[in-house]
Amino acid sequence: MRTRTLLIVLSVSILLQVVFVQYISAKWFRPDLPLLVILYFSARRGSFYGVIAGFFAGLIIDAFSVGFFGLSCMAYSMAGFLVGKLFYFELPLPLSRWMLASITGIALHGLIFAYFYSLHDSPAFTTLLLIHVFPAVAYTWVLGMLWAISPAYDRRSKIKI
Amino acid sequence: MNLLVLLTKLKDWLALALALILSVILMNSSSYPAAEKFRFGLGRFISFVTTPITLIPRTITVWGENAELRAEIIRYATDRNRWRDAALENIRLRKMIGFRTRTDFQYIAADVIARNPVLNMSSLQLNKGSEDSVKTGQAVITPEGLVGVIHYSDKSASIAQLATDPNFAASVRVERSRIDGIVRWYMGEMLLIDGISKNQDVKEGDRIVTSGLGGVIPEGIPVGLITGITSSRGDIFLEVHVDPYVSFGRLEELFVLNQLQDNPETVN
Repeated sequence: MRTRTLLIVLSVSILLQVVFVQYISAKWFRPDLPLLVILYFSARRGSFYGVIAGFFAGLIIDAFSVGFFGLSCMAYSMAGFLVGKLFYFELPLPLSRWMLASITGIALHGLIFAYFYSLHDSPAFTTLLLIHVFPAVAYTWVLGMLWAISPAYDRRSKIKI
Repeated sequence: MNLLVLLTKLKDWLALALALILSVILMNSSSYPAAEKFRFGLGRFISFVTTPITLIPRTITVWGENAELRAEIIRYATDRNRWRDAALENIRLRKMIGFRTRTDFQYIAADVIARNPVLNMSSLQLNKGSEDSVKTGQAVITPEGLVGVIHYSDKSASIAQLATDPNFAASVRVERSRIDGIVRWYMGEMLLIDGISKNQDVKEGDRIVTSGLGGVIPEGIPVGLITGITSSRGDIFLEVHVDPYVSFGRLEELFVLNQLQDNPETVN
């Protein structure tokens, strides 16, 4: 994925996240489209680019929030870094590798959110994790996998992990 | 030269460290006016881009709502006639016992132009600002009940802090027994009132309304229904769980309450 393509895809994903995600969400089952783009980009381009893309995408996402300005920057950057470090692959990502990369990044992102929100009086970390974070993580991951099995996914590589 | 090579090798770690430091600085400076302005400016720019796009799904929703609202108008018109006599009687009695006049409110209709797009749904950006008399601290409601308060107001837009924000708190009252408490977010879309002592008269199914104490949110705005009561802090206090009337995930049109001068009470 080229940097210019990333900018376009990331912008579109943020736009979709802000405008349309509410129509495909129910309670805490809320997908995170920019996160999927950041994770895929990190896995293809490496952790450095993942951190940069994550930070700036997080900055835009945080502009819509009242509390914890900077939390999305941190969570996206860390998720991008981890996926880039563990799953960087120069060739188009095999499905199994993307499966692991996406769940790792999404779970880390969710954990960071749960930790920071649990610093408030309530609810507790585990409650936040189970009730708020788990549905969002599951939904985002399923969406990432649906995209990976769709014809839009670049699967020219025959290499398996 | 070696240092340059080393820096190139470690560039991802350095980028991460820089991103983390900046994130922490941003988190710690959230409450500064400059940070607030930056965040708001960025939000406004993005909402300027997204507003035309939001018109498409919203138009579809409006068609469906239109028919429902027409039916509701007829129902409310009938109710209004019934309550008019009671209101007139109430004004007469209040005058007789020398109660002060009630404050009037202007309902400023505002559309949601952007929302917090990730895990927490704690804030919304509205298309009305100080030019439309929207100010920080004003209550935000829907016909169902309390949504939150205005957190920040710019010239032509504002940010509403929802009741589901972890920093939100409001003075509320159990409508039946008149017991006061502070409501705050609990989890998901649930709210919690704590600090009510165990011997107070609180029951499941009781209606919670705002108490008006603190002077930020006017009294009498519906908040929700009590769905559960548990004991806490060594069984001295109760934890009262409240299911809010408002569905926070799908808010589109809201009203901001602008307090007007005290007016003599009238029934139109």
